[in-house]
Amino acid sequence: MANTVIGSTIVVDGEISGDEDLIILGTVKGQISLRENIVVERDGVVEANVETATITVHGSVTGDIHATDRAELRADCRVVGDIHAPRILIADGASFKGNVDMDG
Amino acid sequence: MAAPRTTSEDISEETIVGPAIAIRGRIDGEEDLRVEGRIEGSIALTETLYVEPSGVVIAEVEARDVVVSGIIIGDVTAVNSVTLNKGAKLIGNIRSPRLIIADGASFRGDVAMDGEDVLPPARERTRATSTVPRAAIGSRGAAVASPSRGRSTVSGSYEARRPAAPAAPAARAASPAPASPAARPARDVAPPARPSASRADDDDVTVVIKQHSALRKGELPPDEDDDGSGVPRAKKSARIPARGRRKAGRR
Repeated sequence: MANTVIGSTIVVDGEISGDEDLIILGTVKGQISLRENIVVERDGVVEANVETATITVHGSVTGDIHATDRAELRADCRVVGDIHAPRILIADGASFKGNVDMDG
Repeated sequence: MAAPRTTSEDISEETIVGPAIAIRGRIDGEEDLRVEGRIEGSIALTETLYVEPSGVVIAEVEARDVVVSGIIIGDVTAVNSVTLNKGAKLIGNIRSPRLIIADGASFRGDVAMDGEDVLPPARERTRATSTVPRAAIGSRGAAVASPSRGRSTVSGSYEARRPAAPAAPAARAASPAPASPAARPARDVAPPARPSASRADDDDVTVVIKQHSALRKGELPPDEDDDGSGVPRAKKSARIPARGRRKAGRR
């Protein structure tokens, strides 16, 4: 229960910030600033710039991703935007369009 | 790989904003939303919004049900019910057909339950209570000039204060002279101008009006003083003595 969950029918239009894990099954537009982990689930849609420690994408992300630790693009995900992260994993079947910067 | 997904989908029936999360903006949804953190902006749900004890919502809220154990600052509109539990704090207006406020909850704002406008009747009641003392005072004056008392019951403080006025026209119709001398010893305010005026009927009318304008301005308490019961009544009616002092000073 410690996790924050954005449910599948929820639309957040604005800014999310905080210090705990975030699981997105719904839609988030705007800005996300976390110091923990983000999981964008299969039906999750993020149209936002994302700052976080780690992000795992099963769904769709449109926007720049800044991860201080790791960015994982899983199979069937769709990501459009630049990714800045020291570790980037892109699985087979992932769709990605944008710049990759692994220099931190 | 699948581990995080399964755990999250188990919880997926409910959206949770954790205690370390702040959301600024608009949230729309068709499922329960449990707020343990902070939300600023607006919330529109078709289901239930729970604001947990650690939750802070500074937003316009629309939902089917709203259950508050934490803090909401903003107007709340619920289709079904609003519940303020112990420890809840809500500052804003509530529109909901059902409202439950538990002991220990804090709330400031207007409440509107559908189909009722609570506020206008309340204002009318306050007006009614404020006019009652005037009418009561006026009826004491009517007791002095008894013949017109029936008219004073129509309404309002003005009617109640005028009772002597119809009495004077009645006396005028019979014989103008006896009416005015009878009234003057008791209530005349400015004697020097009036003896000459009393000879004609029209002037007599003006005298009566002046007398009763004087009555409005607070001559009644002095009359009651003459009756010997004026002191406690003067204390009861706060408005009359303040106006009556002017007249008393002229005397």
